[in-house]
Amino acid sequence: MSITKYAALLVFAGLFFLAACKSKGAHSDASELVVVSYPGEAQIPYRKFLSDPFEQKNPGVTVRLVPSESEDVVAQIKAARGASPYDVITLGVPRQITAVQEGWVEQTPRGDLPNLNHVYPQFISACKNTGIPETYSLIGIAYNPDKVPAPTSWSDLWNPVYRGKLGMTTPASNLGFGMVVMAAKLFGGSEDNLAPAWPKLRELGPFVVAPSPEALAQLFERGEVSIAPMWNNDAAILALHGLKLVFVQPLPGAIVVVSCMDVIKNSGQVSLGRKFLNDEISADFQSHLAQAPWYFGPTNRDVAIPADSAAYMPSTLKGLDSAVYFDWDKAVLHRGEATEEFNREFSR
Amino acid sequence: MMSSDKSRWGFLPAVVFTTLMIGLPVLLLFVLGFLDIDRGTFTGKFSLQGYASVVSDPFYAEVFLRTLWIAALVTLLCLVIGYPIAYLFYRAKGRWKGVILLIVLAPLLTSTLVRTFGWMVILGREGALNQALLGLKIISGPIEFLFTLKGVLIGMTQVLLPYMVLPLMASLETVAPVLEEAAINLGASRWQVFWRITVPQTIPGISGGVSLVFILAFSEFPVPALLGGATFKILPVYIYQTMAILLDWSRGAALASILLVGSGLVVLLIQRFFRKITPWTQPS
Repeated sequence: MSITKYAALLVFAGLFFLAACKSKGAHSDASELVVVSYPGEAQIPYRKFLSDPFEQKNPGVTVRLVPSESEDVVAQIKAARGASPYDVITLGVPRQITAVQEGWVEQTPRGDLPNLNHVYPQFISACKNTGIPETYSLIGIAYNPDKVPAPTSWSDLWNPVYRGKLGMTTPASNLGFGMVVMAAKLFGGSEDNLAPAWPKLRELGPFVVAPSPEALAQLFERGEVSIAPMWNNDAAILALHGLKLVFVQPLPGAIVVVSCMDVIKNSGQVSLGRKFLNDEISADFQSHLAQAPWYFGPTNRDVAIPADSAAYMPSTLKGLDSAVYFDWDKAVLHRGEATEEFNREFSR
Repeated sequence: MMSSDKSRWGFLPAVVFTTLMIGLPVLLLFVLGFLDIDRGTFTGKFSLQGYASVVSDPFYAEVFLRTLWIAALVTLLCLVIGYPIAYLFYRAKGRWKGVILLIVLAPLLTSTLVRTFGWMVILGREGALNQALLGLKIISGPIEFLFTLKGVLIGMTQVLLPYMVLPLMASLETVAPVLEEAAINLGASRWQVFWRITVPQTIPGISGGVSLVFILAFSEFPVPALLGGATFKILPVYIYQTMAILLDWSRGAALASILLVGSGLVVLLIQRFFRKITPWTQPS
């Protein structure tokens, strides 16, 4: 082949590559809404009662639910620098605070979210008046009653009877971070001072560290751990599958974490994303979310908390008064160093 | 004239492709280590902080050495297990050759992730391996394989074994049977023939397999992350955490650069070692 032919071939390949890059952008499909949501079975109500009806109401639109509770989604959004591969994201309050500070979620105009008028104001402010407060969940302790005795308080985790049977997640997840903050507060620290947590967490060892809450739930299923801090929703789903597991709201209280949902700034689907957010806080969808086995706390005040949820969450909003609320604004400032400290302290 | 053109320009697409797809990203990786990046956002300044934080921290030196040690151990295990398999292939006749080749290639038909999840089921506290050992009364209580070095070594060896066996098979196929027969006729035992005639002729294959497996083991992420747990002390796991969780891209890039350079240096040493012990393979 001559040099001219090679050059032509290379130019053609280059043009083809550039065209492919250009057409890709944030979306390959102009009518697709990409939503980062919960993994595993917690995604079922989102598919059945939110995204499927949304597609029916908006002909030609498809909703793609991306299951992830992992921080690497945030890394992808930031690396995309304004061309996010996702349009809408669910963030627990600790991540919501950081996202708002960093400015990569949009401040949706209140007028585009009429259902927000039915949402408890304290949840709206928890999400920093950005996006919508979609649900709240509790971090408690799940244990297998066939293998270990019941814990009643957070400090019971330090009982030697649980040694070698405990599972944890890294502070990269809100579950793991919540446990670190709780350990600090139990032993003289605060959201501002996590140092007391480290020697006390070391006393809990050896324990298994799962990379994410869903991986922790799998470890429970396979019998690798018999007791672990866990989301009430994950515990409820595992129990429904027949796993011997009891969820405890330990003293001084289970940790409340509000989940927020946001449209990502510069998303190609801002208008659709806002509609999706509004549907998310509708009484109809929230009443499905609050049912067994998911038991996501409803933020819409028109939705009653089901009575059978007592094992996994307080059956009235007033019951949440006895739960623990962290000052996440302070705690998130230490999240990076806490994650690093945890990874070093418990590496093996 | 045509032939001369071909030899002059034939390599061009490969050079362009390699430069664009490998050289450029690697260069960007090195450069990223010199940028001041705050939680995934470039501040507009250059800084040595990324590399300095890695080089000055003894923790990373410990992680680097442990990664090196694990990669060396996996390479050795693959060689010890892989050579007999390749030798069996060399000695096999007819359809057995095909059967052995299929067994060697079979793991490559599924992804590493799927195979590793399989190992999680097998190696668990209540997994198949522990159940079998308990059932046969070989052990009295379950052995901890998951989230230990044992589990990671088992998983990585299985995943990387084909990369050792395939170069060895190719190398053994070039061994001239006439040399082995001559040695036997001159009174050498089978064992002597194997060590003095067969193995030396397969050193290029051993060198290739060892280099390939070492590179892959040194940078392996999914197997140690899944079988070793979220805090398994190995460099690729820390690179992932630093990049994706802490969003400290400059430090992550510095760690990745060190992994790349370290891996390259070790492979260079491996190649030099094998060249030294096989002077007859070098052009005089």
